Amino acid sequence: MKSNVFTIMKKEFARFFKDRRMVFTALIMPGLLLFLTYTLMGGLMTSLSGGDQGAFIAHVCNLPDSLADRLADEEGLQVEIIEEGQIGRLRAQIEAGEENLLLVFPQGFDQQVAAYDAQSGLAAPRIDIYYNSSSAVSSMGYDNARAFLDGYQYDLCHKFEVAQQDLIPPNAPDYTMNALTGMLPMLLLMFIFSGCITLAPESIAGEKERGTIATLLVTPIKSGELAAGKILSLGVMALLCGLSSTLGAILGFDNMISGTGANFSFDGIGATEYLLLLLVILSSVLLTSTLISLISAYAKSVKEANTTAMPLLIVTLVIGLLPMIGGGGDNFYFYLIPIYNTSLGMSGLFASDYSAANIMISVVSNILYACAGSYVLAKMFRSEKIIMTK
Amino acid sequence: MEEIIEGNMEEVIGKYMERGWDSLRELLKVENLCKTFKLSQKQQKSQQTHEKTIKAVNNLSFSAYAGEVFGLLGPNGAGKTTTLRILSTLIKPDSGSAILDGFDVTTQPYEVRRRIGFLTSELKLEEFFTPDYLFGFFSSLYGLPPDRVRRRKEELFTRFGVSAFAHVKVANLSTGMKQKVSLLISLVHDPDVIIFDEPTNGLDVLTARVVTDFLLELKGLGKTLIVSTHIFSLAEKICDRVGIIMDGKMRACDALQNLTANDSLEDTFFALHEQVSREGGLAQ
Ligand SMILES: Nc1ncnc2c1ncn2[C@@H]1O[C@H](COP(=O)(O)OP(=O)(O)O)[C@@H](O)[C@H]1O
Ligand SMILES: [Mg+2]
Repeated sequence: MKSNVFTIMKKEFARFFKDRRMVFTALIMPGLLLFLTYTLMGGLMTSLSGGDQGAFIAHVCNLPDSLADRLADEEGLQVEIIEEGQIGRLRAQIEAGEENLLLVFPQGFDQQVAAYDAQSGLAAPRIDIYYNSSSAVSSMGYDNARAFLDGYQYDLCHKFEVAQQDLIPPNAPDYTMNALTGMLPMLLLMFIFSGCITLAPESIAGEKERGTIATLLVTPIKSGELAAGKILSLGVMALLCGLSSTLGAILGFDNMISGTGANFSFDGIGATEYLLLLLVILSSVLLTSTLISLISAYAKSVKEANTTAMPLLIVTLVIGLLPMIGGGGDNFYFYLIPIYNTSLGMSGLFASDYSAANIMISVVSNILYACAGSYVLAKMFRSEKIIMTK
Repeated sequence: MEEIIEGNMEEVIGKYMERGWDSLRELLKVENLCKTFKLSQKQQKSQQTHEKTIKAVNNLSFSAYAGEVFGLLGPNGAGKTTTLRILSTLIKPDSGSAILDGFDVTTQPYEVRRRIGFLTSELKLEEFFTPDYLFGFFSSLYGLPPDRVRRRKEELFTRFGVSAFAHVKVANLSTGMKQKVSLLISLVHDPDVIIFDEPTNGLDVLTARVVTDFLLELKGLGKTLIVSTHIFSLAEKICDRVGIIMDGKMRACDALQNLTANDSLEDTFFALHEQVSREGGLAQ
């Protein structure tokens, strides 16, 4: 009877959604935490990089003509020319943290440089940089000034020229996006997995532990119906939890990188890729909830189920990162390996480098594994050793 | 006819006069039932034995007739719970058979489950839900039509005084109320056979009284009851026939009148117990 599967699912949903504490800890909190973590990280990054609060002001005394144009080209930098008489006051302001940077060139710097002979043994013309290392902004200003002057010094020697030729294709994702898409399969697998792991042990090992599952098994429900009802409802709830985490992560990530000026979007991904991605995720949610249900049915208590599932979580995370190391992306047989096929498929889809046939193989094999697993789960529900633990 | 009914002819006729032909219908027939458990080391220690296995039910046979209360009477560890679990299809026997209303508990468990209500303090309800929700949930597992569910819910909730608590989570109910809810949930489908493991165990006196009265009421409705207990007074009060079970074996099985013809049930039991231990039949 299909309606029994439905009855079980309805009960599982009622158990979950009517429990405010459960909804909060399993559904809302993970997404919220990810969102807050990334947003805070973004805030930290922006404040470290000096923030968006207008341009960085560098005070310069005796700015040589040769440098005036170069300095004007620097992005986010505003040069304020000061007189020698103001040096003392500015030094005090930098010390007090009110100003950040002062560069003092000797008068006639250009001529001095032109006349200077490195072999002469005489002192070279000197530039003084005043900053305050107790201020992050000031320190960073010093670092930038230092790098700028080093570059200038290097160009002055002019023994050779380095020309930068970036062969980046017009719509290639940038470096941070590459790292991000590499991590995505792992993140998604983790979100799905943690959804299952917060729900399945409670729903199966918990019912065993509290003796409520035996109450079900003296009714005419078939063990297969119970197994299917449990797995399907867990799958739906794990999917929702995963969705919440994913949303939290994406929104938070957007906040995080918005400060750095990078742009978060998958340009190469179209409707087909999204559809395949959905299939991959659905099939792997089904498989994961089956796996954790099996573990939970085998365990004698919720605690035991949790500790048994943990190593599997770690293995899953490692497998999720494997495609980043590379290889195997076009080996047909790898798409038959549960979890690994999901992470291969996802990373292929994110990178727009995949074979639809391989993706379908992984989807179909995941569904078959889940069916086999639910058959085993049904058998376990029929076993007195599993159910009658006392 | 003699084959079917143990006990004397007078009683059979008396019963027949009282309740008609149905009282001769063998509703449950248990034959040579055996169940052995493997003992874990922890269990070996707690039971102070070096045996690796225990014969919880050892070649047990008995019958129960339609409309009667059959009592399995025995000390703790005699195998009562194990027997009742087999009858309610929760566990499978190693050998032997039990036929309930024509259906084999091992090969036709779903048919058996439709016809029985199994009550025991071990079967728990999910405490998160209300009696009202659980009643509906279990009713749909039995595939009962909604209007019948509504009528039965009304009837049982009123009978046990649960109506006022119908929408309170089970977790927040008193122990006595929880037990009443458990009881009525196992009867949602109005089964013909009620299997009850230690009906009054762990109940406060008031609830125990409600439960015993209810069992007699069920009997009055023509239900067949299989009850296990180690309490002599309870057996005397509600049983028509009693099987005395020790160490997994049936040591006596007769009408209550016959077992108590000369002595109280308690004295009969201890006489039997002594006899069996003298014969070395009891592992002590
Ligand atoms: N699952 C089990 N595993 C091991 N031993 C068991 C198990 N269930 C019951 N027993 C043992 O079988 C014997 C009969 O138990 P039980 O049927 O519960 O007796 P009663 O209900 O008459 O007290 C006891 O010795 C008990 O320890
Ligand atoms: Mg018992």
